[in-house]
Amino acid sequence: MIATTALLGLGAVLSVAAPHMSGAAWAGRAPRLAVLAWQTVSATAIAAMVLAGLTMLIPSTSLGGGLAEMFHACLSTLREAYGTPGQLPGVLLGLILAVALPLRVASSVAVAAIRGWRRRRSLRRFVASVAHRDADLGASIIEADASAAAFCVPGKGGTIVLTTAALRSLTAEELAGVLAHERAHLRGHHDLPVAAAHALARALPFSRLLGFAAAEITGLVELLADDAAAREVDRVSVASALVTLAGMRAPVATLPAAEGATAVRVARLLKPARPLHRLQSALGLLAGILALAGPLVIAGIPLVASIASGLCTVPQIAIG
Amino acid sequence: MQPFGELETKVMDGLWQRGEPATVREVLEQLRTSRPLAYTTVMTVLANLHRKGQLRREMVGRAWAYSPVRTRAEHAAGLLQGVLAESGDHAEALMHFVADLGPDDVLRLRRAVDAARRPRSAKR
Repeated sequence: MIATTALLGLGAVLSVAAPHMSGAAWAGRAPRLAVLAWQTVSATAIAAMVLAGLTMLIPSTSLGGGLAEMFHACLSTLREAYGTPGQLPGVLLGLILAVALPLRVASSVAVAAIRGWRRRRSLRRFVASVAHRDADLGASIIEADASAAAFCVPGKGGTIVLTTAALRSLTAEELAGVLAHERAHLRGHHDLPVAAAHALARALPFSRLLGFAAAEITGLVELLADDAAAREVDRVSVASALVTLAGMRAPVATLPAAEGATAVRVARLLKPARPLHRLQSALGLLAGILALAGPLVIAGIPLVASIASGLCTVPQIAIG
Repeated sequence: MQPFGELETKVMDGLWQRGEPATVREVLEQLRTSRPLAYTTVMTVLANLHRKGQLRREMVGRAWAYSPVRTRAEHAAGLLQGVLAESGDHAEALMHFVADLGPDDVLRLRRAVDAARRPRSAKR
């Protein structure tokens, strides 16, 4: 009972509190750690709910029997340790959290993976048919004077694409910055965490946490690529490239959040923040690992206690 | 605006390259060097493209002669518009370098960038 409540509570607290950590100052100083943090919080919240469901199933289903046998624990002690008042709602809710939830997440991720692969393939075909490859730049160029666009299509055989309008408006350093930024996306496979986060958000659309995580991770990988570009070309040129292209009114579908994000990227490039101290990063990683282990520990405590106590509560038998 | 299938692309490429209207037979001859094709296949593709509004046709003798409605560049630009317009939902398939900004933001940020460029000696 306590384990179940604690797990549900953990899931609820993370879901409510974590979104408030969006745009934290330290995230800009350590974008990679921030991505991991969002992934950890999302995984921990989901794990907490799934494990809560499992604890609800232990008292009334064969799951309890299986565990009792595996760990040589007394079944009735185990049942009491995990018992919830009201058997049927417990089993129902337990099935929803422990079975339906993981299935939903798994199927959403699978569907997203297939759709993403198809979309990228169709984009690559489109680029191959309308663009010509510029070997010096390492990019595909589309003849289009009306819309300035610079993007990459990630994945296997990923390409960087620019329109002639974009090429014409960028200086040599700015162009180098754009190419370095896109190359960082391709090398770092940044599409993977973005795709995973969006798939989770679509799986559980009522979850504010997963929605925030998807938006944050999408923005953070841009910071990662900006940092990579700034290592190859000077920061001001990268910032300048951002402003030049952003101002060209290309017909791009933008989310309102993306506009604010651009200003943040420029400011961050012009005035770089100190990266986190190595100790701080290490502590952050440690916190993440502990957090992930949390739900498992909470779920397992009654089991461990039952085994350790060695006691067996005798079930009440009606006599007479 | 949908991109073309593989054969449609080859047919359109051939017509763009040719620069003048072509009959089914002429397109067949042009393509046959790279792959074996049936007359009816090419006829169907051309008819479909015409139906989709990608080709216009005129009677030449007893056969239809097809030519592209848009130039290759116009077609590419149109497809690009479509691709960019729907990319907002799918950040994992197409990663833009930067999102649009309003003119006020652009002005403000341009000033910031230019200020950062000024040589330090100016601060003396």
